Amino acid sequence: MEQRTPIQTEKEKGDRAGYLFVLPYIIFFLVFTAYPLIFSFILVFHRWNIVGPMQWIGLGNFATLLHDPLFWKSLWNTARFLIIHIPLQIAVALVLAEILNQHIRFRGFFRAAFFLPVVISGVVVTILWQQLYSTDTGLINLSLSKLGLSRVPWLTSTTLAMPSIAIMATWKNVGFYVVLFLAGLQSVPRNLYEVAELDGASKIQQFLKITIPVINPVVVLVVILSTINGFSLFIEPYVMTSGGPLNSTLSTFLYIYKEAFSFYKMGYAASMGFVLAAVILSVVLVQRKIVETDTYT
Amino acid sequence: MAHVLLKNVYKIFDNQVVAAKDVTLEVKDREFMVWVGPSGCGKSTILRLIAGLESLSRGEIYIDNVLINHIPPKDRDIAMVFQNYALYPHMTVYQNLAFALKLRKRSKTEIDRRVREAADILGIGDLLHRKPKALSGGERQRVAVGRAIVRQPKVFLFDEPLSNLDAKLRVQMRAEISKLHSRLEATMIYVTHDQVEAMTMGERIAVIQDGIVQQIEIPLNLYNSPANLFVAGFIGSPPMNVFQGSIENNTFVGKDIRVSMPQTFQGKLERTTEVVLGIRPEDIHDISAEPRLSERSIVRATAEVIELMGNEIFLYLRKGDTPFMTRVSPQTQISMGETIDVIFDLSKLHLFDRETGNRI
Amino acid sequence: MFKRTLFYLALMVGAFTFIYPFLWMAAATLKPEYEIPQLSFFGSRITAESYRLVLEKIPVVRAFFNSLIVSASVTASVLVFSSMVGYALSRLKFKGREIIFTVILFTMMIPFQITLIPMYVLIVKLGWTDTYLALIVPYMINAFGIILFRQFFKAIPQDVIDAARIDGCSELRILFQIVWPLSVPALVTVGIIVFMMTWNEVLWPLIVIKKTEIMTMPQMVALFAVGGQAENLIGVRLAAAMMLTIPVLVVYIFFQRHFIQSMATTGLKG
Ligand SMILES: Nc1ncnc2c1ncn2[C@@H]1O[C@H](COP(=O)(O)OP(=O)(O)OP(=O)(O)O)[C@@H](O)[C@H]1O
Ligand SMILES: [Mg+2]
Repeated sequence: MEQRTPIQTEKEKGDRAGYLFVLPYIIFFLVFTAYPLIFSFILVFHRWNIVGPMQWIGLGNFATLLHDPLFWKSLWNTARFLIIHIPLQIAVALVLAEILNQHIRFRGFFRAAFFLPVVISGVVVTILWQQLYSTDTGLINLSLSKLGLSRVPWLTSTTLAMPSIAIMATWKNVGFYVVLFLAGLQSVPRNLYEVAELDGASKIQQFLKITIPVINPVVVLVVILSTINGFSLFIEPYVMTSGGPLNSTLSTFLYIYKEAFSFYKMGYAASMGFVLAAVILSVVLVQRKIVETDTYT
Repeated sequence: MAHVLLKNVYKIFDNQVVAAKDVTLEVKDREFMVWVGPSGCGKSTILRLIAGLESLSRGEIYIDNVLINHIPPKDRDIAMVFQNYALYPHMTVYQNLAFALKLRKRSKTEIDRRVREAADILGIGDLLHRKPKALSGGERQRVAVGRAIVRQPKVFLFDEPLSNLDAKLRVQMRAEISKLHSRLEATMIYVTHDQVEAMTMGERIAVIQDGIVQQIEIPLNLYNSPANLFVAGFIGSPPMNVFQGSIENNTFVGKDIRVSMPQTFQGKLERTTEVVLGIRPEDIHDISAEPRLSERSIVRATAEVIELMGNEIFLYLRKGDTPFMTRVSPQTQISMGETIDVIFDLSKLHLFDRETGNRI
Repeated sequence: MFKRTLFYLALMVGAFTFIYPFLWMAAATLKPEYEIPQLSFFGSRITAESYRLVLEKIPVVRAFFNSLIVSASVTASVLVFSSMVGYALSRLKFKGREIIFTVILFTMMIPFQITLIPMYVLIVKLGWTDTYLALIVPYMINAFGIILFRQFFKAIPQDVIDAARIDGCSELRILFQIVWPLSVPALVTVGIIVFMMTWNEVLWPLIVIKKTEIMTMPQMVALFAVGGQAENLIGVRLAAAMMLTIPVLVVYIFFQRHFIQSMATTGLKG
């Protein structure tokens, strides 16, 4: 037998470059992901105002939370927002996408127009709509009274304020979902419609029986994305209503923000963050179960 | 100037594929060596080991007696030409050629001189300011070769550089690369799966299968005395006829075919041995052509398929259950279903051990 | 024909709904304050009074440059570091590569509601509050960027990278001189999305920046609208909002196709 050099595994030059290249990420991950994640687990068991020492209170934060009417109210507010926002957004987005999917001229222009509010800062949109919604001086109410209708207290009524915000959020985001749906619609094979046409299906039937099932994955995606975004509702009520009137637009996330950064209840806010994350996760899982069909898998 | 030595080289991929198995091979200074083998046999991998693009699992590689196992590709003084050209799409031809020299901090004038020299050799002087996208396949291939020659490396590595070109261009480029070799007097290793390329270009040929070097020889020897059944079957087109059988009393006995053994084998194979008999199609002759052969064996067979090639006829014959083929002169008069007597040229017989496949 | 007309009419109404409010806002900022709550689009005269007041009350130009510095730094950093990681994950072999990839996928699923408060604590501990560092460093690498680059880089022919290695490139040079020029679409996509996200981010600056000089533009405008500084003047708030709109609008008008495509392909909203 000839003499053999020992087996060398792939630990040469390429290896070192690889580690060097991911090193920044590893440091970044440890500092800005792993550490906060671990620290949040510690934080939820403490009372802490960030200046003084941390005080161990076990599950105290969660006990407080259970009996905190404002927390539950804020969750309910967020739910009210989502219940209006998601269906409205899907409906509008689907209709607009379906229209854009026809043979039309200037499609690029229309698409860009629908998309415009998406790229504009939420701060701008909120300030603008605050003006449009204004009870006495708002453009919408001015138009209504011009038409002889009575003024609507868009942002000053406890029942209407959240729906108003939901409508505004839809206006801001819908262009994004139009684009997602449009991509989905364009992937529907033409010949499916031709076959249906021969079978005598009406346009509406075609839409319900062909389009919707085929783009189901996009619908799932849209539902999940708008849920996740909806649960982080913050800047709109922050700028527009500060959570009022009577806390009727206080979203959970706005509440967390206030508890943490106005009252420095770090432990409590962190606990609420945890619960909110758990809620998001469960809602998304349930939605998947309901919305996802496996017609085309 | 350059001499490449591989010593017991192994390459085992993470997925346990063994792409090189105990490869020991020497490429002489200024030699043009061709590696040939079927797709997936490990040719590219071994070439990439020399280039330093893959790390060895075991073994040693030397260039000019310097162990290069741990030297990065750029310091090995090699250049490689790839099957898909691998030109930098965002650079002009000039920039493509100059890139390596720039990285080596050569002076502007030197770079310019060498780029133009290479472009002249390859006839791509007019293309220097085009981007690869604006070039034809053949032109791209020239640029890829040009990128190698501006470097003036010790060793050129070619990995199937012509397989994306059409047949006519391939023949032309084949000749040009051979010319380039004599002009540059550099050591070149040329990988192909095309045995015609191998036979026409190689000074020596290494036949590779399953990561193992089967035989290294000059083309003629490779053809005339293949070391084993694989080489016998791989080199030559149409391939060699092979018959399973055994040797009994100096006669090959197959299922349907009996052939007596020539003088050279007599005495060596007295006891009964299981063998494979091989004979190339051109060594089986039509009896009516009256070939003058000192040792011959006549076989009567039926013509099954007749392919007229113009300058010759490919005749597919059958005797009993045993098919074989022969190349005969276009004058041969035969039609399908007829029987014909053919003569086996016994001096051109190849015998292989049935178990190992090795030449006897 | 009639149907067709109706169709375009519907489209026009749709487009109008999304564009008109911005036009109205632009017009309103140029009207005298008392004319804003009137239905007419144009005022009796054009005045820059609202803008003058904004500039007088808040250092919005400074905030613009803060936003620019922060967004540009974050974008540049994400492009460099995320593409480095993406390159390593797709083109370099090393032990633990797949583990790192899995970790990255995992980090994308962590809701920021969990990490936000500990992150703030971290910034406080590092003493980075009221500094650019607080706005830039936590965003310097981006998991989505890594994944997108990894995906894109996988499609680059191995031969080109090998050729570069033989020609004498280091891995860094390969990434920036060979791979980058071949990945312009991916760079544009990541660049646009990250720039937009950073530019429009308002929650994080509200948390870590209290000093006016370091505030980003959306933050400053938001605080201006919320706080008492606007003194209930509509024109002033709208003018501030308009100033926040214009930079993005200009970029959007030129690159709208890229914006839309980037976000559609990644499923990410800026
Ligand atoms: N990076 C890799 N990881 C795992 N297996 C590999 C890798 N590269 C090549 N292989 C395997 O190694 C074997 C040899 O591949 P190689 O590319 O060297 O063949 P080849 O002789 O060049 O074939 P071809 O003529 O098709 O180019 C093949 O079975 C291939 O699947
Ligand atoms: Mg190959």
